[in-house]
Amino acid sequence: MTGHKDGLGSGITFLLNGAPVRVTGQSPTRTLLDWLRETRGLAGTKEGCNEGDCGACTVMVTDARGSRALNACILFLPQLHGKAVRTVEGLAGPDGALHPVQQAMVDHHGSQCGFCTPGFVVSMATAHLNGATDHDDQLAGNLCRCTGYAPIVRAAQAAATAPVPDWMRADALSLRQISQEGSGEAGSLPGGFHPADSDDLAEWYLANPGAVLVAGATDVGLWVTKQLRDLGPVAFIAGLPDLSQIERRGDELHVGACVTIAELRAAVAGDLPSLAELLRRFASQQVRGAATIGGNIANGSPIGDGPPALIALGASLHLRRGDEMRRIPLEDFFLDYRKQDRRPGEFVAGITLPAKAPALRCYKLSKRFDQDISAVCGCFNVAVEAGRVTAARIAFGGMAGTPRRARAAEAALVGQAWTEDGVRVAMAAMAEDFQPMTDMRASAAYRMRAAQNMALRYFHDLGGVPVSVLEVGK
Amino acid sequence: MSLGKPLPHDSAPLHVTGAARYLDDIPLPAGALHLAFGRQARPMPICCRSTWRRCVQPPVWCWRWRRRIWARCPIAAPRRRTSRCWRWTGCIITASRCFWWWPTAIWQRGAARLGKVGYRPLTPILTVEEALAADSRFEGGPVVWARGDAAAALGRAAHVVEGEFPVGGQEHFYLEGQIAAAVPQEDGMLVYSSTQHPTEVQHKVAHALHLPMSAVRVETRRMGGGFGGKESQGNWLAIACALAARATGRPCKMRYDRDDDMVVTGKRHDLKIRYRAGFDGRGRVQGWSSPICSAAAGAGPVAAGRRPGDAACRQLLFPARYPDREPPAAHQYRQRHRLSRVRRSAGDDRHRAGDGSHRLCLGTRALEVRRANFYRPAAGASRPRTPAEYLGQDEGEGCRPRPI
Repeated sequence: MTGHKDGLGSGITFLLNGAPVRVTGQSPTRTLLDWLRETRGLAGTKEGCNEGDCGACTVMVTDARGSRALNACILFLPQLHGKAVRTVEGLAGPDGALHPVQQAMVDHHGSQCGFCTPGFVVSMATAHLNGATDHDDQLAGNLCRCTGYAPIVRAAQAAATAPVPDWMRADALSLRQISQEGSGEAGSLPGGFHPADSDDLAEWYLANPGAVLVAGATDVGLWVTKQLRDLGPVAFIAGLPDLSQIERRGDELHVGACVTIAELRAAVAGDLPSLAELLRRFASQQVRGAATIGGNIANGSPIGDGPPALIALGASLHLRRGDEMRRIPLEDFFLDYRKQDRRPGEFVAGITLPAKAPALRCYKLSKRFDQDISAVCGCFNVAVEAGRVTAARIAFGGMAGTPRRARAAEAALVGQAWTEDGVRVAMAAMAEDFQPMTDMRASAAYRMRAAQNMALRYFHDLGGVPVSVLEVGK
Repeated sequence: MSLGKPLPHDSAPLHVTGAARYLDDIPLPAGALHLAFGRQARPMPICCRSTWRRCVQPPVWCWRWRRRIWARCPIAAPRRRTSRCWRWTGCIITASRCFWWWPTAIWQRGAARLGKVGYRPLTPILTVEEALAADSRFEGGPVVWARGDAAAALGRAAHVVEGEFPVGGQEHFYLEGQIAAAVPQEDGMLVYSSTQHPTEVQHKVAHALHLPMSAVRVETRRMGGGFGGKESQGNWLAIACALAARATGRPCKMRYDRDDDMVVTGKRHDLKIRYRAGFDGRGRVQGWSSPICSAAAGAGPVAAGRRPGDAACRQLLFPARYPDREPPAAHQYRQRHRLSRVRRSAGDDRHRAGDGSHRLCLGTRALEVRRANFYRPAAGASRPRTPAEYLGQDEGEGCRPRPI
């Protein structure tokens, strides 16, 4: 038992632009952005939306798992314990030499009003450090209104070949040194609990069933910044070693609850490409780097994109309460709108999914292509043998109060010939499965029509017909 | 020689290093207060009685300032203090949740949400058609901008077309939200404002404080975008900060949360534009009548006397040679977010409508129709006349709004 659970907290430590800092006496739900701007006077990091959408507050966070761009506005201070933070003020060299991406932004006219620029520059510097050249994806979480994206992407391309400056590697080296010296210690802020492992968490959560478990804080952060809620006791579980593993066990993939969307996306890119593409559109680079698959499931949102795909895959969920573990089919977890089969003190420990599913296809329909909430997310996994459907798993998000299987449509398919006519019968059956609602994202009728058409799209997709708008012109 | 060579933005090195200082980055003197507006969650509150005094604990400053703001804020006060002025969601209902600077701005936003307000259930008016059916208009009725006798000109014209088309609303979405700060001076007020129109802010703050404009200094070093959304919308914050700063003697700052900003401040109105145009065989317009119905909601108070739609009307009168036209702007109320002034988009779309309608009737190309309607150079002049020259007088004389 190494986690701190005293009421006062011992404070947290991290590297800020290369220099160690110790933070004490702050609320555990104080955001990094507020702390940077108001306490440290580092005003280069901007607040644009305060909900993780615009990327103006982007900072680079480095830990043993690498460097990531994250949104400082929905990042609580305790999440940084033992890590290194680099803000826009820390990108230039010790002698004031501009970072290659900074110089490229100047040279390529990448700033106009300049307010979004610090966030862009930090995202670009992080991508540059990681050698990532998919610039559109890397920058999808940064909004610009006046400059336009073309000069910004040109700047990113121009800087891509420049060597990574030495000072940008300093954070990882310093962290390694600290960890070798063994000076990394547990830390906490008053009211915030940092478990050492899942046993620690299980015991504490059983004793504090009303507490809030914070993983990536990409949703919980908004409870604080937008709803102004007092969360009460909180536990910070991101990066818990035994919950952050992805293990291949035979034909199955076991994914810990604290695996981030970015990590899961990388792990399934080879064998489950359709899921990986869904996870790309799931959210921005900054959100994917923080959000966890366990949080996405436990949150229970009817429009979360993770559950429909996992349900279609036939994933099962591992829940833990104290020392008690149970495994249930994922679809059984979602009982009703925002109501899950989770007892007090019980938490999501992980999921198990098939490592391969060649027939899985995931379709996300949203008003904006990237980084938008789904109006309908349809995931299909139909097994066809000798022209007949032997098994079908079809799950939707956005069609009901929970992520849900289309059982009538599945039943209409199984045992039948895999033909367009058969699919059309299943499409009609889908009307029995769902009574979707009308909201700002889509009307009920539109949702139903779109969901039905996704089945048709799936049929053609499996038949090798190009179905993605991204395939147009290829 | 610099001809043909790119010049970097003079602030670019500051932008990319985070050293560019926006308003919220300016350290204020110690003891500064943060302000936040309370806002209506729904239209038509029946009770604006503030309960903040009971709800919040020190160190909260809490005044009932609504009346003072209405009374002293020249841009904020509706002409009649009737229930109409509350008809849009997001209307600012009180202006007085003042928290100490410490510890963060988020506290004062929380306090601003504590007020309890009741609402009268009403059927909302959400479309221009509904507004027209309900005769729900801008107070004072529609405004007509006219020159000549449009009806007679239309009667004489060889061809007449009519139709209507919508223009969608737009959110400005400047990355830096609305923000202002006021620092009391020995003989006036220093106002920092993220505004596209510092002079307007200076004028309104001076008016609210009953000071000469020379006693109010407005500084706008840089803005994080504006796109027209920071011309008049910033007045509210600046005036509230100035009033609070004078009352307390402390620096005061107000920054809208993004969500509040999206609801409280404007967009570009969505419009429905109808047109009736009479023209000759060459497509030359003889007369034009065009009601512009704007979903202006509560934009009246914010438009500072330049009513939404007026800009569209003026544009309607100028860009080409339309001898007689009558574009009444029928301002409509809508119970939803308010939208700010119409700008170029409406004018552009109107051009399209005009050109398109000629094309339909005459089978000619849009460019030819446009050319036929260009202003003509004066005899002996080398360039076409400007609109003002064409009219022989300035804009205000040439086309004057009149009530009907």
